[in-house]
Amino acid sequence: MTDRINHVEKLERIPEQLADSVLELSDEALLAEITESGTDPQQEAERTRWVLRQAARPQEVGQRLSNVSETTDSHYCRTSKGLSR
Amino acid sequence: MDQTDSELQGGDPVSDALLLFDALRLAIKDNQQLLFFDALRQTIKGNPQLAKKVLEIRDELAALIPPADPTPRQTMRTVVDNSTPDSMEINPIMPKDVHGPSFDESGCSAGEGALPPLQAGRWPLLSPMVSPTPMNGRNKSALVIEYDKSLSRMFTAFLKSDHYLVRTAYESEDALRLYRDCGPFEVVLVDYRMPKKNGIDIALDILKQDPTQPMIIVASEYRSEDEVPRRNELMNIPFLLEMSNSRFRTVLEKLQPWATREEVDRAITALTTAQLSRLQRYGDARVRFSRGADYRTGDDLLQEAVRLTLEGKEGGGSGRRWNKRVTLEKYLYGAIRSLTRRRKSDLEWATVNRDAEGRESSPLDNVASGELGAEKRLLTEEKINRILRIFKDDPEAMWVLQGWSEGMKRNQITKEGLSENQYRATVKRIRMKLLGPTNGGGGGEKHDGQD
Repeated sequence: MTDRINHVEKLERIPEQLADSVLELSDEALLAEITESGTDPQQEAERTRWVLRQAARPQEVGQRLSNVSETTDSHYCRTSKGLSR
Repeated sequence: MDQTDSELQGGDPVSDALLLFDALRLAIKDNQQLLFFDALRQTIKGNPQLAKKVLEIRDELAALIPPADPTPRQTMRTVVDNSTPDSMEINPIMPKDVHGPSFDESGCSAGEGALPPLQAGRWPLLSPMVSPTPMNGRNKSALVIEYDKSLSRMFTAFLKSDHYLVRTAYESEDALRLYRDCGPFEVVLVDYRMPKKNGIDIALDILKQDPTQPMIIVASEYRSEDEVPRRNELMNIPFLLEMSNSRFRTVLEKLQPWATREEVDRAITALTTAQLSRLQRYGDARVRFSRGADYRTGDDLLQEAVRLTLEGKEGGGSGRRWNKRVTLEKYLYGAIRSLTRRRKSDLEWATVNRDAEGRESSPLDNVASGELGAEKRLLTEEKINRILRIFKDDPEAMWVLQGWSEGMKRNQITKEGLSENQYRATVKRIRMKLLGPTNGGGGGEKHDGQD
């Protein structure tokens, strides 16, 4: 059991390091990487801005508290297949 | 300065440096900055390149500095204590003719402690050196009312390190005059045991001038707030009972205003494409495989971080406090890290007991798999094993992933076999596969029904 716990503990460092690797990238390298992956950085950024703004909008506080769920808007929808319009 | 000048002959570097420091101190005190550069030129006259540079700087400053004040020493007043001219507590009040219109007669800067703007043809004496500019470009001001000079120095040093412009007063009369002339401040620190006038009385006098003035009462001789006499006269004013940096910081942070919706919205608007993309990917990476994250997507995580920020203001102080001296982007990284950190209940199952004979047992041995986070653990294990399967034919990626799981940092991994370029390329491959759009860039583990 202990070995197994240690194993999972170790594995959990992977996503942490993966996230930290994003912080190490320069702006240019990050945007190039996003473009290379076939996504429009500008479009993705605006979608993220929209996501953040939704959380900051006063009229939706109650709704967000009770239902932190799917995030879609009228223009963009993020699915398991990526960003689609 | 003349004596200093004559002694600078380019001899022992340490002696020269010490003399230069003295020259600088005297020059600043006398508002004779050019003399310092003269002295500096003397010390480096053996190096024509440096001497030329110093001369250039001197000439540049000469154009900015107003004509020398015939009685510069008399124009400098100390705020509270004329008897200790060289101590840290002195806050020189600059004469109006030196600083220009951004300083009033009392020497208080305009705009709640903001540094005066550089005036054309003026030399803002000392200002650039007094306080570093905080990350949001706005300086904060503090007033320390403390009769004990060593404590005053300690508070001053702490506040300065936190980007405050600090004024100090050792006596109640000076404190109240200073507050009248320079207040309000972001924070006023008052020692309870002030002589002549008790700290509570000083605080009440200040509150008469501005009932919203944030204040801290230092009462280190008491063990609890209930023991402090007349404590009830100051409602909602925190007391600092324990003299430690961490406690002081905690009390200070409580005084910082919560972020408003407008401030958050403005900061979101100001985020650049790269910052937004980085936040999105950071959230995605943290949420997708972390056991501590119950959020369905990276989007949910980002929204939760923002919501908690606003909840502080609107939810009775239960949220997270955005210290606005850091950017919203940096703050959100911290919030995301905190939200995805493993929770205590998740850690409990990792507790391993050892009996008298050295046999290990875990609470998990005797409970159903759904309890104490065991289910989450299994899911995490499965998720991460899935990552490893993706890279099973990529030895370099496996090497990096293994290094990460062992807690190795970039330099350790590159030292152990991969070159810097190989490491960069490998990490990029890992990112592209795990965070790219073809792998569900939204961090949407729940979207495909895995959770």
